[in-house]
Amino acid sequence: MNKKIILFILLISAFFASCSDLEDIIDVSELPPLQTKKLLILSEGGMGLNNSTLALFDLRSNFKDLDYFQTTNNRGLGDTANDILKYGSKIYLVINGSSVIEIINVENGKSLKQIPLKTTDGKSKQPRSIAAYGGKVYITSFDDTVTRIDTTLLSVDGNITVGQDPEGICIKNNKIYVANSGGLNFMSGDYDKTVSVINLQSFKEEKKIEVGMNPNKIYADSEGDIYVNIRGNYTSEPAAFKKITPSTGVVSTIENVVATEFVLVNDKAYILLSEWGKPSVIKVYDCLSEKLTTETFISDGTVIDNGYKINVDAFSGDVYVNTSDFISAGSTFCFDKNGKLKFKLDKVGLNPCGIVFLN
Amino acid sequence: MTTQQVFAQSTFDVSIDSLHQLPEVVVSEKHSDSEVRSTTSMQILSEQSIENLNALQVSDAVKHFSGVNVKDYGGIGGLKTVSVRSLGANHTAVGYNGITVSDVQTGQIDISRFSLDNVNMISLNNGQNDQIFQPARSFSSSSFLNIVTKVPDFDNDKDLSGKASFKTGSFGLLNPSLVVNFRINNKLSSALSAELTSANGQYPYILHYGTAGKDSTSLEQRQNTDVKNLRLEGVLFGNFSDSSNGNIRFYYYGSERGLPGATIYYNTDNFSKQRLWDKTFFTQAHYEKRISGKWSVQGNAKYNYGYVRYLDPTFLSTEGRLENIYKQNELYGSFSALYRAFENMSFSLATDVTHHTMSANLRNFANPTRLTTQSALSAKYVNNRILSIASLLYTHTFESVEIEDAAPNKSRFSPYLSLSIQPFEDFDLRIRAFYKNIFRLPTFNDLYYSIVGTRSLKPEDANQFNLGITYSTAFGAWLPLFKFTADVYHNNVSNKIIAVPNKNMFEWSMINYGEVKIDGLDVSVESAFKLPNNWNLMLSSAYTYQKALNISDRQSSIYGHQIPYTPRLSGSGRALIEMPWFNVGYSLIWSGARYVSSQNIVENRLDGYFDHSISVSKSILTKIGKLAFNIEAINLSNNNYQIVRNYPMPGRSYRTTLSFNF
Repeated sequence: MNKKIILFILLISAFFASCSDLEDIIDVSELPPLQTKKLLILSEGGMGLNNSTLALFDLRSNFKDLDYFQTTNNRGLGDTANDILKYGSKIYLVINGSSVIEIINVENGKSLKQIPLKTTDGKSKQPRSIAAYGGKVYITSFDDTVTRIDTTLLSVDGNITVGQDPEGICIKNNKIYVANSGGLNFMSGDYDKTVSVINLQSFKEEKKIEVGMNPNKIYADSEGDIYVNIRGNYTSEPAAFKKITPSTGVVSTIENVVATEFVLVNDKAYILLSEWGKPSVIKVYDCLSEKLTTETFISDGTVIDNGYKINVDAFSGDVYVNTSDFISAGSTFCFDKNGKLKFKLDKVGLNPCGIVFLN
Repeated sequence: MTTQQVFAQSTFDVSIDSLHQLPEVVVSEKHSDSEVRSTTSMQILSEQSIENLNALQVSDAVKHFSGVNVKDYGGIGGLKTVSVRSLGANHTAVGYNGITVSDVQTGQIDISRFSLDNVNMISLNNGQNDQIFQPARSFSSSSFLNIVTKVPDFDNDKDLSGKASFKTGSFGLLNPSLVVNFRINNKLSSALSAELTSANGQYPYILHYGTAGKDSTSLEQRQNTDVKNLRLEGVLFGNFSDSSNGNIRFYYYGSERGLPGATIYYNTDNFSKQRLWDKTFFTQAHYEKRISGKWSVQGNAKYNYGYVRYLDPTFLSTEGRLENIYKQNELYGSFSALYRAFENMSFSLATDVTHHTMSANLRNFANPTRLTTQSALSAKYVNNRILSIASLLYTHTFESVEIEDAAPNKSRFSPYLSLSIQPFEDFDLRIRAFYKNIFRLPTFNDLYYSIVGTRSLKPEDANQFNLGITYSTAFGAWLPLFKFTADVYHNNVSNKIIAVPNKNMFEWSMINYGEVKIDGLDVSVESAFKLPNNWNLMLSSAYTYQKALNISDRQSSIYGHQIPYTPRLSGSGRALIEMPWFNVGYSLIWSGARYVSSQNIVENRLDGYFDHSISVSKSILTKIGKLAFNIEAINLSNNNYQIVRNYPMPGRSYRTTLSFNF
């Protein structure tokens, strides 16, 4: 590894970080790899099928292990894995159906600890999404809570109640933002409409901001603005893409943009729009200029059917789209930052979702 | 006698001729001949066969038929549905004493509710049976599984008969039952029966954390598997004259059970909390009369009430639980007339009207009502060597709802044609063939279920072609019975009703999409040997080959793949040795590997299995009746095989039965 480049990145990052937020803790391992050499792709599997997988792809040797977790640990990952996060020397896997957090070693994939997430009355919490900051990871769960796990002790060190069925989570400027979907009330239609704002230090909910029905993913840009996609109720309430300005508390709708899925990396929101039976579309929204800068990101005519999740390699700007038809193992498309297809991985897993980039 | 009793014979009772005069044109035949004379593939399990099958429920017995896939979630309370020849459970009609049991909500009948107590026989027909004098609804499915209960018989001087039975065994099974038959006068008799089944169902199993075979395991016990079922039944039979008879039946079934759920890694506990309550009440009546040598008529009627309550106390919605209550009502009437036009030719016309309603505690549920009229016109030709049937079914539905728009009304003609020929006069080999074009209507769930239902669905179509041979013979005294049937078939299902995420990637709804092509072979052999010293040996087996391929989309990664939960090869075997002292029975169910989802990849593969069981039985004739004792060991190899992935079946278990016939 090129130490000079690391140092350079460190300095640059430290510089920007110190400009925006003096309290930011810079963790070397938080930086994207200089050159992605390996991918870990998490697949949800099907509900009740115990077939979540973590696949390893070595991009140089073309070595692959579609069930890397199983190979390494002689047991399956579990049922319905929803999120994956690399933080420090560990990778955190959020398994919704099995209701556990599986913590593995980045180097060899060995499980360091499996933490079951249960409510006080013994029900499964059903964890959903994860974010990390300052030596802790924070996990949203369908039992309307956020759980904090200490990354040294590898144990739960707190729970707080938020809105209903929280989905996405992000951390910025000493605050944790959680999108409360109320998605499990789909039968009654009583979706939640809020984002919870949690004080990082006190680990207490400060307030709820109303953003629109059924918020889903949530990310922050470097200016501290919070972006959230609203899914609506699929009938009368339409989907929307919104911005929260924390300093004023104002929620503004970004006109003419909706997102099935999105991810915010390097101040760009990469938006995936999927409609069954039609090619998926990727758009790029610049969070600094606050403009939709790219209407059709894919520039070489590549057609993606059933785009399911989107991930972006923060160092290279490569955009990864996972596809799913829900019945067969999906593919992963990798585009360079100019929207040209670099490579495509087939039969990655059933319902591939998150990706961790390793060097 | 009802028409369905015509088949109510023991397959091994080769010596007894038919006692029932069929109203249709028939050639006098032995009871055991039904399977070989049938123009469609027909399989029968008689009471005596069932007794030696190591079967507690109807589903256990049905697994012995060829061409059948019982989707069994394991244990007494586990859901069990029947798909025949890969057409899907929605295409299988289940009849109780000839009248179809319907579930307009799901379109699938959970046969775990039917016990084998008081069952006289179970028959399975592909296409339809050779009776043309029956309700129109009996023509309206691609296969028909009929459960026929016993008709009381009385010794000459007695007006009371019956059976008391008590079963107990592993996993807390307690199963007392009582049947009492009264002769009221020489025209009327009645039968009352009651049965209670209760079990904790907690069987041990090994949980494998992976499918590779080298993964870590843990020894677990199946939880939330308790079952409590009560069945009460009363029938009044009338034999008014030589030319007219009828019956009226009242049936109640109540059940509470735990749903043990999939064995989710690291979290089996939370997935085994759901409960299900079932209540079914129906009353059905049958009357038939021969008006003249040429004319017969019959009428059938039914009222059915169904109630299902489902509770998931772990569901993390605001309420902290998910509770669904579904209620169904059915009113049904049928009239059929038979005309014996010529010595070898008869015609029939049947008209049925069914009125279905459903309500549910779902927000904005449509509370749909469906009125279905079905009419069937049939012709049948019979002589000693030829049997042929043609029928045309017309179906029309009228649908209405309380909220929003109703699904469009449907109307369809469904043709059917079958033929059986015996080419050589003195050689009981028959060649048979049938064709049927049929459909299944979209269910109320398909059409109206919150969020996913689609009102514009078309029916799902099925085409069936079958070509087979049957052969039956006897060799002197030592082989009184040898029967062989083999059928090849080609089925095709199109406009399949499936759920897809049709708008974006998280809003699912029902659509008509896709096609399945099925080529298969069913073979069955049955034989009885008379051995020295009064020993008898009966052997039978069934074999199934099914190539059921998804041919929906040539571009898809699953094109040409075997459909889920359908083994290429499967089969069953039975043996019974009758000795002067006691009888020993052996039964085997086996299946090849299957795929648990549409893609045929190794990760989705589920291993095949063998399930062996044995029983020893003894009966003693006393002055006051017959006392019978039976002890069974089920799944001898103690393998927690899976029919449905993550739903392990019970390992080795034992059962004992004491019964008294009076």
